[in-house]
Amino acid sequence: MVLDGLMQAISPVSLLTILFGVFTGIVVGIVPGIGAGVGMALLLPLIFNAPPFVGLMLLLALWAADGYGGSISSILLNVPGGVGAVATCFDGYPMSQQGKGGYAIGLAMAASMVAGILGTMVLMLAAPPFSRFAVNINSADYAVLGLLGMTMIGGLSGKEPIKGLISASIGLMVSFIGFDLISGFVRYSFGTMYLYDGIELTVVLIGVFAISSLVEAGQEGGTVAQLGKISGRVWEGFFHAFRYPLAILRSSVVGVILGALPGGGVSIANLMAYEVERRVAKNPDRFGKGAPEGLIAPEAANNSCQPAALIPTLTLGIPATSASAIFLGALVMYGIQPGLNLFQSKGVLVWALMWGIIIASFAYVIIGVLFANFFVRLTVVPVEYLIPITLVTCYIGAYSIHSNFYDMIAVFFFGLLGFFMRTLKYPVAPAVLGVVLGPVVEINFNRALLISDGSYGAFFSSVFSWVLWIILAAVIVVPYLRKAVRGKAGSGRTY
Amino acid sequence: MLKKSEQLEVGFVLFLMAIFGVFLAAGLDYPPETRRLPLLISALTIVLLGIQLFSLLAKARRSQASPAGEAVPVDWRKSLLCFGVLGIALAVAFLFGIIVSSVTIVFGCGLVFGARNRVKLSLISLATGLVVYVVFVRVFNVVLYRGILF
Repeated sequence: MVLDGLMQAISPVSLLTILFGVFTGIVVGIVPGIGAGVGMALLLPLIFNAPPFVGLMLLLALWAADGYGGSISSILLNVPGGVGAVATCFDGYPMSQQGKGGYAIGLAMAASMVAGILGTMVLMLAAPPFSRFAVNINSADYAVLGLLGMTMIGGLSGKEPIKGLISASIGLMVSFIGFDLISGFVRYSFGTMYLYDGIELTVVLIGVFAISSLVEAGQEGGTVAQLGKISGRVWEGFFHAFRYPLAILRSSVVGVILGALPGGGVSIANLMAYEVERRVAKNPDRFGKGAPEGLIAPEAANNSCQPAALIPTLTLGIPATSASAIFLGALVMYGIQPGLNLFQSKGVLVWALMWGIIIASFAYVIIGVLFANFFVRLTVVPVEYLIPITLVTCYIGAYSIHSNFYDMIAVFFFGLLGFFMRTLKYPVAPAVLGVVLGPVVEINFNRALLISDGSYGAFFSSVFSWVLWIILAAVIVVPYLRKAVRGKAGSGRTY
Repeated sequence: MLKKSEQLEVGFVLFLMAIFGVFLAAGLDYPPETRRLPLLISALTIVLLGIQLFSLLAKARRSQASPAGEAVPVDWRKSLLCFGVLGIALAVAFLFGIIVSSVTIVFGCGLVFGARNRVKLSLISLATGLVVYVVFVRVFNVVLYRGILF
């Protein structure tokens, strides 16, 4: 199965798919405001009718390359290409100002490549045994696990966990519209034929994620580079990165841990890895002034994070990040059930995808060097042209799923909802997760009640479920406790 | 008196409460197995929204006095205008089709986001429409919506 997967991954169709996905991922990563999530959401309508391996590989290759693409914008413009490239600005931009932009890009490229491969190797080693463990999880525990996944992302995103929970509820309610999967009863259609089948997941993703993100990026305006060329040698930076093996390894570990945990993700991983590296450095004063480790750490973390996020996604069907939630949506779109039996029923496909991520890690080195000047020129394209053109693809993408004009109307309203959520600091990722996990949680919830003759005690019947409930309670309560303790410490009260 | 930004957030919370209230009310007529989880989620969310509303009002009362006439941040106007353009583009798509709507989106949103050279913007808009036609209609054979007038 492992070797069959490798053979599929190195087939000509696969290699072409990976190259295209990597190229698109770098482009998407470079433009601030358009990250992997937006790129993947926009690709969903296009891969609707493609073979599953091609569609899924395209998404993964884009996702793998996005982190490296974001580093180019961070290094040259001091504007993060995505949330995973924030810390890259700290040392990457000073290097660029010192005339070593190409060198910095080479460092980022090497760190991204090695960390991406390390993260994928962890995925390959951890996922099969994890899926065997997942077989023992019953319906009740699965429902609680789904709830925990949403709560962790909702509770850990943003400063106010309650907003994350509200966001997750919005996603859940959207998933309830249409036919109930168990009884076939039509819910919340309000007499309209359009809502009978529910709202297409891709439409929600494009609206809530892509359109809102693009409009926000246009509102903020893009910093336009004046020159559109890089100085310093990319290959020199690439090979010099290997002088810092411990920095790459440490940061990859940080990325893997935070990638596999729901609520972690690249946004925390890159900053934490930077901080870890700064603290262990013999001369921390170099950081923030162009220290190579300061650039290597966040790049390694954000690229090892992504394959690790696939561990809970593929084995439990619980995505750890919003991009993995979109990938899960694609799996569901193809009728591939993640979780319990994926490695048994679609083992070759899964192994081919994992090998494909490793190949993609090499591919973005090749493409990154070959097209370096082209990618850099993208940074001089004004956003007032780039964003509207991308908005056009949102509308066309929404329409092309079912050739239904009402999907365009739906995507507009979800875009408006997503925009207000972002503006009022309601995190969007939990809503995405709610839409994707809603059917899974409901099926398992109802199945558990059926087995237990309607007794809610089924959700508290195992040690595993008790552990999940305790973690869930901690995720909700701890931030408020922390705020209360800080508030009392600040006011000087004593007990 | 609440600041404009606080008014917007309170309005959003009230809007969500209304929506979830509708979901709760509509779900009451459904069969028991079908309404179980939706009613639970709706009810819990209304409680959460109530807590959020209370917290917002309490924060507003505690915060330092500032002129109640605070304007909506200027940046939001660009975004709201952009959504206005997208809404108009929907109407244009309904009447004239997606290709004409594409031109509308690029031109309208480009103006909103600050494109100064209108000739260049017009050319890019028309080029986008042409590319959409060539790529989707000719190359991918996707049947794009033509509008009720065509």
